[in-house]
Amino acid sequence: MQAQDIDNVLAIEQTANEFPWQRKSFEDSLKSGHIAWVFHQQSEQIVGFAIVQAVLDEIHLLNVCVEPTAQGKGLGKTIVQHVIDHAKSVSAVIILLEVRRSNERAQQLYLQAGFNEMSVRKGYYPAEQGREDAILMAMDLDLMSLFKQ
Amino acid sequence: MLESGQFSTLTEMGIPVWEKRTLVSASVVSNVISTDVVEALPAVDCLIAFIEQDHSDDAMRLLHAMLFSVGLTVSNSAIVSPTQLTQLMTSTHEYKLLLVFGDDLIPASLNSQTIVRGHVYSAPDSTLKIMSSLSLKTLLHSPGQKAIAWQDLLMAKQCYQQNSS
Repeated sequence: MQAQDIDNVLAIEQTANEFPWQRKSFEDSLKSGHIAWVFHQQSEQIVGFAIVQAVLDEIHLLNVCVEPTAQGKGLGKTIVQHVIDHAKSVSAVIILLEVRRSNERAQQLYLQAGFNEMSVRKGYYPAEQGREDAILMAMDLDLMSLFKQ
Repeated sequence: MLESGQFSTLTEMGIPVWEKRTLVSASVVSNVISTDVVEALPAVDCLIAFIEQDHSDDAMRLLHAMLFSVGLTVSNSAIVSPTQLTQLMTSTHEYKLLLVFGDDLIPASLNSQTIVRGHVYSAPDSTLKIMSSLSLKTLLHSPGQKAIAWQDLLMAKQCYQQNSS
């Protein structure tokens, strides 16, 4: 992801999320050196993105999003697998993420990819009515290496 | 540690045995120098020192990940030996940053200053900036201390960027 992608990325973020990141969050993320990718389908149009932060040997998945009309076609799975491959390539031992309790579709995607639920952060996210819990999920890559080549 | 013969015996006894695989090969930091002469070091920006026992696969993996997380790479870093570390304090060179993992490695020539982890120091006769953090062994044994090391690395990154500009 480059600075010039932010307009398109922001449009996807706002279309897909009730409480989207603001432009400044994307700008700050790029300035901070977070690793960010955009994903295209056949056309040049961006249909998804992912942003991660490396903290020592941990990878924190900060944001992953697929444009609503492109959802249900396996792109989310591709993006998550890309993040996992990246984490392995930089010798990370764990990938961590937070997801809204109400976002069961995303939780299912992460579970299928090999993530496990670790804990709950009560009232972590703003919600339409008050606050919403965050489910903290993780993939232990050291443990996964026991089962996969 | 079990030998391969013991693995097969356990398997024959019906006891499942899992082999722990290493995620990345131990050669993640390629610029490992076999000589103790500081002039033999490659032309890199960042030098790294850590105690001998830290050269395990896990320690090297952690080191690789730590370097990556602050934008340093294998190609612009090199590992120095304790002997080279001492030479670096007085030799003329253009290295920008020395990251020392483990306070007990700080050369005596710097110890006129009280070396405190998480602070940046200047080598006596050069532009080299020195920063000390927790040993890799400590981080592997006490992952809860990674937050401290992360703050150290962010400071090291800032120092490296300032020294490079």
